[in-house]
Amino acid sequence: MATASSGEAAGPGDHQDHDRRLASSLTARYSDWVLEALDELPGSFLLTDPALAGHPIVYASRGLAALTGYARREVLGRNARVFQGAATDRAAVAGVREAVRTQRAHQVAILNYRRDGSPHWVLLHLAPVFHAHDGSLLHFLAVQVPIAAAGRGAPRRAAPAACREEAGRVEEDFPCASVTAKVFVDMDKRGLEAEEPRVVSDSDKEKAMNTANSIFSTLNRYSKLTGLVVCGKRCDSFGIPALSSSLNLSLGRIKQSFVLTDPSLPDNPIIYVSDAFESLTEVLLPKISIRKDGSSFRDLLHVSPIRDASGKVAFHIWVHLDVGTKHDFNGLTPEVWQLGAVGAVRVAVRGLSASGSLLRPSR
Amino acid sequence: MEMKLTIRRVPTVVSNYQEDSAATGGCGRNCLGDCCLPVSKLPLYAFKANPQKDAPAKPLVNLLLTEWENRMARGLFRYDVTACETKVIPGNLGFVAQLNEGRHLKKRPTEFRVDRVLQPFDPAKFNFTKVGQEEVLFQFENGGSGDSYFVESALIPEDRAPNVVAINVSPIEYGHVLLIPRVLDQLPQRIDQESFLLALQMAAEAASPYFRLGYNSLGAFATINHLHFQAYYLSVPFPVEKAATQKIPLAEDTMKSGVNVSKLINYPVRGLVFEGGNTLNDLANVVSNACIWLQDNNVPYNVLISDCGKRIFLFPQCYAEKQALGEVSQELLDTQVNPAVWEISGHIVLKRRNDYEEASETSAWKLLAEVSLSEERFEEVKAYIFSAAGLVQSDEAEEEVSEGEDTTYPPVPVRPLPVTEGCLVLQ
Repeated sequence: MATASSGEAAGPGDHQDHDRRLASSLTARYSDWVLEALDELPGSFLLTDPALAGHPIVYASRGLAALTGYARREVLGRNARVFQGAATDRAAVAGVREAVRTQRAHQVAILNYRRDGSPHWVLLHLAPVFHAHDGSLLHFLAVQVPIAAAGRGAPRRAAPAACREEAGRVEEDFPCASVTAKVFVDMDKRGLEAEEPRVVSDSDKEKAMNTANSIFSTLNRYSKLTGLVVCGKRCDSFGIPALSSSLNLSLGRIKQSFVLTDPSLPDNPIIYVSDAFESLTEVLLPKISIRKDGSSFRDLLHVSPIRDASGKVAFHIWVHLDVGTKHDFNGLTPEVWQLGAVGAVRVAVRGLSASGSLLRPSR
Repeated sequence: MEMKLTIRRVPTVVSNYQEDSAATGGCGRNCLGDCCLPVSKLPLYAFKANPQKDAPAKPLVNLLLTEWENRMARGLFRYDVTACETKVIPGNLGFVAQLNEGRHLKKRPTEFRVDRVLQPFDPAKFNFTKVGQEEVLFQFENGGSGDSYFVESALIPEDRAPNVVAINVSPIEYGHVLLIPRVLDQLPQRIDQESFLLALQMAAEAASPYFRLGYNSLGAFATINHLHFQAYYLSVPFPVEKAATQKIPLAEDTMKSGVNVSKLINYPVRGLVFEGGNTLNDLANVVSNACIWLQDNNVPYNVLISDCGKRIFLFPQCYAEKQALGEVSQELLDTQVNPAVWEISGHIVLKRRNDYEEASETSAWKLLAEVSLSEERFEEVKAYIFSAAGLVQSDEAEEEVSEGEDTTYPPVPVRPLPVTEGCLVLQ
C-alpha cells in the first residue's frame, strides 16, 4: 500500500503532540523507560490501544521497517489494517477481528503488504495485554514473523478476488480492511507465489511466542503502577484473580490454618485455602463466601487486612484459632503460633507485590 | 579548643521510650535496666551452635514475624509499615524505594557529632536499657550444641548480660528489629569480635537470604550510641547483592582462614565483600578486625550481613563529613535521605512523594555515589584493613588492580529477568 493519506493535515507541532499522546498510552501505564526497553527487543511488533478512537498503533518496534518497509512514524496513530491488502484472506481477517472483539489471543498466517505494495506472508501473533488485578484490557500486542513459502504445487485455494472497493468502512476493530482498488493495481505483477498459503512451522510459532514473552516481560518490568501485572489471559468470568505460582508457593509453606479473601470483589470470596484449613472443614472454592453475619464462623477466626506493596488492601486473612488444640508449637502458645500465619502472609504478599509477581489469571 | 564537626538531623525514634524526658531514678516500668531486668523474665530463643547445613525449617524467622505481628496488634509501632508504598525501581540493579512520610518526625533536629566514630557511652542519653520489656521479642542466646529451642518465659542469665532482640518502632520494613548484644553491659556503638559473631549467628540461624542484618557506626548514621545491629525481612534481592564483584587474590599463607575478599565493581559505593571462612568464627574474626581498624582510625563505616551470614559487605563512608563541611548539594540534602546501611545496600526510604514518584536508578546512583570514598582513599583504607585483618594481597593482584582503574561506575546490564509467571501468552 502506498502512502495512503491519513487525513492529517498538520504542521510539525501537531505531529509532535499526536506522537506524545500516543506514547503516553504506554508511559502512563508503564514507566518512561518502557519505550527504550521495547526499542531493544528484536522482531517486528506493534502495540495498539483499543481504548483510543480508531484503535491506533501506539508503538511499533525497530524491526518493523526491515520487515514491512514502513518507518515507525508512518504507522503510529493508524489502525493496523494498514498492513492488509487486497489479497489478504478475508476469513483470516475476520478471525483476527473476532479475536480483538472477544479479547483473546490468536495466531494466523496472513498475507500482508509492504509499503511498496509487495505482498508477503507473516505469522500474526495477536495477544491481549490485561491488567492482572482488575482484568481490564490495556493494549493489544501484534507480533509479525515472516514465514517461508510452502512447497511448490498448486495453491490449495484460489486467491481471493482482487481489490474491493469499500467506501471508507470505518470500524474500530484493528484488522478491518478497507481498501480501494486503485492502490492495488500492481498486485497481479507480483505473481501467484505471494498468494500461496503458507505452512507455519513450529519454529515460526516459537519465534512469535518468544517475542511476545519478551514484550510481556518488559512491560512488567517497567510497570509504573505498583502491583500492575500484565498477562495474556484474563481472569475467569467470576472475576476472581488467581494467585501467582510464586505466591502460592510461599503460602503453601505456611503451616497454620487460614484462608485469604479478596474484599475488592463482591461477596469477599475466598481465593486461597491453606492445607491445614482445608483439612478442618469442607470449603469449596470459589463460591463460598464468609459473610459478616456468619456468626458461627466469626468466633473462630481472626481477621486482618493484608496490604500489597502499594499500601492498599489486597486480601483479608482469616486465621482459624483453635485454642483448644493440643499441638506443640515450639514453646509458643497456640494462639500466638496460629497468628504467625499473618506475618508470613504479609511478607510474602509485600515482597512479591513489590516485584510485580503477585497475581496471575486463573488456569 | 577542639573543633567539632556536627550535622543536624532528626533522629529516628526506635523505641517508644526514646522521647521521654530523661528518666529519673526508680523505674517501675519494666525496662531493660539494672532496676528491672535482673528480676524479670523474657522469652528466650536459644540457637544452635553448629547449625546443620540443610535444616529445612526456619523457626527463627517464623517466630520473629509472629512476635512482631503480635506487637503490631498491640499497637506498639508508630505506623503501619505495610501501608507504605514500596516498589522495585526499573533498572539493572533494581533499587527498592519506599515512601514513608511517617518516619519523619515533626521535631527539632538534634546535633550529632560526626567526626568521632568512637564515643564513650553516656547513660544520660537514650539507650536500650530504657526500653520497655514489651518492646523486646526475646533473648537471643547460644543454646549449645543441641537443637534450637524457644521458651516463652525464662529468667535472664545470672552470670552474663543477655542479648536481646527488640522491635524498632519506626520500622523500615515488616519485621524490623534490633539485636542488642549484652544489653546490661551498656556497650557503646563499636564492633568487637564477640558481638559480630553473634550477629552472624543470628543470620545463620534465620537461614533465609531475605533476612539481613546491618550495622551503622557513629558518623555513618547510627543514632544511638549503644551497641546494636538492625535486621529485617524483605523478600526481594538487594541491589548490592546483585552487583558484580572482583575477587582480590590473596597470598597463600593468608588463606588459612578460608575467607576470601572481593571488591565491588559497577556499584555507586565502593566496598569490600567477605565470604567463606572455614567456620563462622573465622569470618567473624576477619571482618571484625577490619571494622576495629576502621573505628579506631575514625573512618565511619556500614556493614551488611547477607546471604544467611555467608556474605558480608563493608562500606567505609564519608557522607556525614561531607555534609558537615557543606560539600553536599542542596538537592540531595533536600531528600533528607541519610545513607546508612540499608540505603547503601539499595533499599531507600523516601520522605517526600515527589522523590518517590521520580525515583530512578539514576537518582539513586547519584545519591549513593556521594557516600563512597574516592578510589584513592578507598585503596588506602583497603590496604590498612588488609593488614589489620591479617590478609595479604598477592603480588600478581597488584598489577591487575592498578590496571583498568576507573573512577566512574557506569551501570552494568544484567541478564534479562526470566518471564514472570502468568505472563505467558499462548498455550
